[in-house]
Amino acid sequence: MARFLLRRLVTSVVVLAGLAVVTFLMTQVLPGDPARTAAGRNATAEQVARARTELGLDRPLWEQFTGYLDRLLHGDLGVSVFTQRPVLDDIAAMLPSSVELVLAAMAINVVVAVPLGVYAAYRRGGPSDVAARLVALLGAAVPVFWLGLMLQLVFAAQLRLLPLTGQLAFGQDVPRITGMTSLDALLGGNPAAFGDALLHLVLPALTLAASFVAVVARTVRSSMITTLDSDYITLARATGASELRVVVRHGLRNAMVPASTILGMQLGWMLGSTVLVESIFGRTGIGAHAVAAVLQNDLYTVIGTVLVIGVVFVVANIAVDLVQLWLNPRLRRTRRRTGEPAVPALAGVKP
Amino acid sequence: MHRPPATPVARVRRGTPALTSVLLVGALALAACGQGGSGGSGAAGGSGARTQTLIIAENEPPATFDPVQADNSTVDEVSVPAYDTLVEYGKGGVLAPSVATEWKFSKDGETLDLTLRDDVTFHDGTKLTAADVKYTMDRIAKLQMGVASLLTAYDSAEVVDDTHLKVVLKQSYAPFLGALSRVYLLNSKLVQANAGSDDGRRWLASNDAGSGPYKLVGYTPNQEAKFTRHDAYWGGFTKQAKDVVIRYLPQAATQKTALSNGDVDIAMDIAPNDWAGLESAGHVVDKADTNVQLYTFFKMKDAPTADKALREALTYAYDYDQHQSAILKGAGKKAAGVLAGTMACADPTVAQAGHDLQKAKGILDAAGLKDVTLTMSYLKATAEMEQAATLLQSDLAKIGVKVDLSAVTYPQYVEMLKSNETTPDLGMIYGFPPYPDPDSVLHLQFNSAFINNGQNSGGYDNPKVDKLVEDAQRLTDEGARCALYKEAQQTIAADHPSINMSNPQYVTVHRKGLTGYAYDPAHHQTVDVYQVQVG
Repeated sequence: MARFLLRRLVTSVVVLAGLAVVTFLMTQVLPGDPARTAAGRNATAEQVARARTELGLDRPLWEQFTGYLDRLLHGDLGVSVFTQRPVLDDIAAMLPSSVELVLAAMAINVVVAVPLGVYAAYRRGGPSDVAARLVALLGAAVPVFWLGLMLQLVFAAQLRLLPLTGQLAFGQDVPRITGMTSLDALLGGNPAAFGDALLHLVLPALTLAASFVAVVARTVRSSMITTLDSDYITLARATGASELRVVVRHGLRNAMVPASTILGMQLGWMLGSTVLVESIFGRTGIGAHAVAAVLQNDLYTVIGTVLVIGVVFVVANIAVDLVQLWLNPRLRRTRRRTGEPAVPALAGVKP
Repeated sequence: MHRPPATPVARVRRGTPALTSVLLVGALALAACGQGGSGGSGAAGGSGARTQTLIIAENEPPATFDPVQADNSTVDEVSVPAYDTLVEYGKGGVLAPSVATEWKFSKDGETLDLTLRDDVTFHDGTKLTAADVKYTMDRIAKLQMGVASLLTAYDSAEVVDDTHLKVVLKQSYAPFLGALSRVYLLNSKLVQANAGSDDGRRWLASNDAGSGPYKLVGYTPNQEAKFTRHDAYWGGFTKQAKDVVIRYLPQAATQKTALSNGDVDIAMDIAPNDWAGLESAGHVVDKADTNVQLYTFFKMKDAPTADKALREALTYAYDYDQHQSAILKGAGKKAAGVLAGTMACADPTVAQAGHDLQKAKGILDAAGLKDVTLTMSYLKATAEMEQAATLLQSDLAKIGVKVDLSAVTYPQYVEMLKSNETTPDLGMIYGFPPYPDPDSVLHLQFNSAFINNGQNSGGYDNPKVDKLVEDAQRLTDEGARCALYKEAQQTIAADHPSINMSNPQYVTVHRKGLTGYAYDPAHHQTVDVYQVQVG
């Protein structure tokens, strides 16, 4: 296990180093001049030149890059062009809010997609299977921004059931403890604010989850079909176990191994997808922060945001591997023998 | 309700939808506890507090709250409630006193004597003095960013006493006074106490050091900025809001829904197609004249647009009436020249082309111009720009000129303008004068110093215009200044450096019952919340 973890950590460091290089180079080829942005739209040539010097953008590219890597190794993502605040501080302040949204969306994803996949597999080929797959596909096919606006129109404007934007109603206030509004409301002993924060989470979380449900539902359906055709399922039925016990206890547990891989990767993807959702629903968070940074040409904030999302993605993948090891003892044995992780998509389909 | 114990499997079956429903109902119930019966969307809150709160929907958050960056409208918008300025533009674009009650240029125009009010207090209770004004200007000059571009003539300031200040300029520069309408006065002691090593940039990015009618009390990044009354404000209060919230909603559709729901009082970015519907639903659609103009600049140095005859022909090909009626839906005027007609010193006698295809064709034929193909870049920032680009393309096709359109972002456009090789033959962009002085257009957009570096998009280079405008800058006599600016406008018009496409109005929609809202041409895309009465 320790060897496996060490391998994963080394791979992760290589991935993140590659990401840092690519992100840095990407910002060099992106149109726009951060020095002009910092100096102002009407700035004179001298003012722009001065801003360029202050930002270190007049130095050779390799020098900028080595300086950037050096700071990165010391945990410094640079400072914002506009606010002069450390990028890491800004991100740390906003990340919890995005994590709250992602966790809510993931909860919806699991609660909807897994039963949908199981049901479709159980009723495979029938009208229920087709309907379940269609519903899941519809969520994936609808563009996020359009879905968000439609949900706002129906549930906030027409039915007035849920709030339109923001994270708390006017007049509500919670102390900042974790940065997750709902959790802070709970920890602050304010049940009304907690309920309100949950209501504010519903539409954005649904919007964020919609496009992910199809992938998980199809994965669960596919692996459930294979699992339900297995001999051990036949044996379980022969022992007189109830159908639900057979499907959920014996079938789903094994079918969840490949799905857990997808769910883990989706954590990272979801964090990236908050870019649109947070903007539509007027939520604070790393996605909305990234949009603003790109619009404002805030160089180091853009790089920092991408890197942090990358770190979350890598950590989520390591967590997925650990969960798989826990779910399937065979993987532990395989890895112990070969030192290599088994292929998650195939592993665990059969006991 | 009592339920029989369920097996684990049964819990899975029943639990999923039940759990979701319970959570939602629970959240509704908990939220309802705190709403005090206000109902609505949940964002409305308690009705008593809500009526004393002005909520404004805006599409873009500020990068910082440091007013040194207030040349950007998003920063200007949050500076207006929190800070005072020395002077402000009143009705008709005339400079009016604010913290400065009197001002006087010396005969050579190189010093400016200011007299200040003695009853202005900052939000922490400290009294505003001439030392604070000097600190503010020195800081801008030191940082050389944002509004510093408007104060290039500033040299130093000398505090005479608490209410008198002598400002020394590097040279006579009459627009300096107008530029002061964008200089937000800082509490020098407070900023210095938090200055750190960056002259307070980091601290001011999220804190307020002003003396304006409202103080900043909170900012949730990309979500909302909250202000509350500064009760000791020297102007006093009548029926202004107790609290002001600027809520950042990027989508026009979301702003419309928020306004319809009563979640916001003023929406800054409602789509033109929704104006009529909201008006018929009882909202007020405010259309105000602006100093903003939409231009398509010609690349002046290279063929084919270096040919003056071609440029002139193209100005006659564009259908200005169509732009006004179909694109702006009546919310705007035809441009009267390079300066908006509402701007001081705008010359109404300047020749401005109208839509005349025969004349356009005649000019092309006379110049022997055939099979012309042009590149054109435009920003996809607004519906007006997108539609104007295709309208121009279609109009030019009618006189045999082919246009290859390319939509770019603003940073891309700025990058393209850095060299003549990459500058497009036609470039469409708005001119946003930072303050209502003709200099802010004629100097910034047509001075050769800004070619390949700034707002002189087409690379217009006419030494006569440079000299006229620079001479005008040195005159403190308004009549003499205007004469030079008018001559500059005539000279520019004769060179045909741009198609002056439109002078759009600024449209905001607000709920009925608000009074005093008025668009301020000196602070485009902001709301002067102190003028708005909610009672």
